[in-house]
Amino acid sequence: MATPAQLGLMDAASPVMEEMIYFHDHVMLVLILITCLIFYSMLVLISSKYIYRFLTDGHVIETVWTVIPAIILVVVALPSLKLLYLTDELDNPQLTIKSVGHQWYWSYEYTDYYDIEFDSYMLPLGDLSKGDARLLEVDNRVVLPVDTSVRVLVTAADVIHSWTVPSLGLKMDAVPGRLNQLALQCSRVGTFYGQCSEICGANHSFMPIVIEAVPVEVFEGWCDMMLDEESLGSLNMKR
Amino acid sequence: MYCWHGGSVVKNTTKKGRTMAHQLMRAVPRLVARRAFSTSLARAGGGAGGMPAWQVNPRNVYEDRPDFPMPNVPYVSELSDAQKALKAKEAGDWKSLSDEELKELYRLKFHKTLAEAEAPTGEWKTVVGGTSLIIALTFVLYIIQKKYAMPAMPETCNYEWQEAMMKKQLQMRNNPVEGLASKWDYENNKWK
Repeated sequence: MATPAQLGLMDAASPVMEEMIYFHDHVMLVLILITCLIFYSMLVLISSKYIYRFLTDGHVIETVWTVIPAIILVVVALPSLKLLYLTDELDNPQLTIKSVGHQWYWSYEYTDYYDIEFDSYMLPLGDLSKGDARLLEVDNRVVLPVDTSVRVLVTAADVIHSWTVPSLGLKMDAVPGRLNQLALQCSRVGTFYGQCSEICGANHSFMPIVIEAVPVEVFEGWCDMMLDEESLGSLNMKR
Repeated sequence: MYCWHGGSVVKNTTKKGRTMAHQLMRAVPRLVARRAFSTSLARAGGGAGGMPAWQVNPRNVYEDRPDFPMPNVPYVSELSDAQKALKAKEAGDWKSLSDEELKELYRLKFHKTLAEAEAPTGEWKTVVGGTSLIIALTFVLYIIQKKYAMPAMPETCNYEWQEAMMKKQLQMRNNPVEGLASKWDYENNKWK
């Protein structure tokens, strides 16, 4: 989760997000260099007393300032494309979950080994405990095992939504009638928050996503709990 | 055909059988064009064929430019008799010209001296003052809105809740690499 007034990216919780942070740093360096060059040129021109009134063209410099930006663009584009294809790579996932967007909540299905389905609604202000994040906490979190390759199939039941978790570098549109695939791998235990990222109606801002990455044993215990009829009844969830 | 006051507009026809309305419709555009053209002529000063100087040749306009203080045309182009006499005197020996005459000759050629053209106008004060006034008005509007129109902030924004939220984030090891949790010393329970 971001801290107040945070400007930079959150720490990565997945390998793909780590690569995105490196790419961001690389492109930011290029941008800062270009900006410094421009500001320096502007400063020198403004503080100069001389003007050449009859300047019409400069073929050599025009060639230089066309070729050099083309090279810079190649330097930016190559890692960008590499990262783009990396995000699509799916490394033999051990678990597949489905995330279905509704107006205005998410529902999740773990149907690989067991039949676990539940809805995930945002907690209203009155239901928060002290210290909970407003507009981010949900009643039922998505629990996933850490260091496990997970496939997430994202879709929607009514209008287009978008399933996003910034710390894991994930964003995928949930389009009704279509299954979009995401590759997810949490590198560390923790709780990761996200919010719906496609305008979907009045409560678009109030349908967050919370992923809780836990050790495999804890995940198994959670699955057992979800399958236990009694505890499900107390949690008001369906199997 | 009747006009708005009830009277008839085109009851009477004039020569060639054309109605007044018909003649008005033909005459008005012609009259407007003539007035517009003659207005431009009335404003014109110099130039060939009644056209203004800047339309004949855009370079034949006097301009004080600090970066290029050599205007194309003299400032005063139509000289009075006294000025013409002075110009004739200028053709002779310059030592015979007094200081006043030299200055007048200069002012015939140039509107401002270089120092006068480069002198600061003080426009920056107007700009800064106007901008500051508008920003101040914006703040006033915001304060009024905040006090009378906006609803109260939720309790999650008060200090105790923020403190509890930070404690929870530290317990969750939120952003442990370079972010919040990386700055907390978990062994000694204090900030690094």
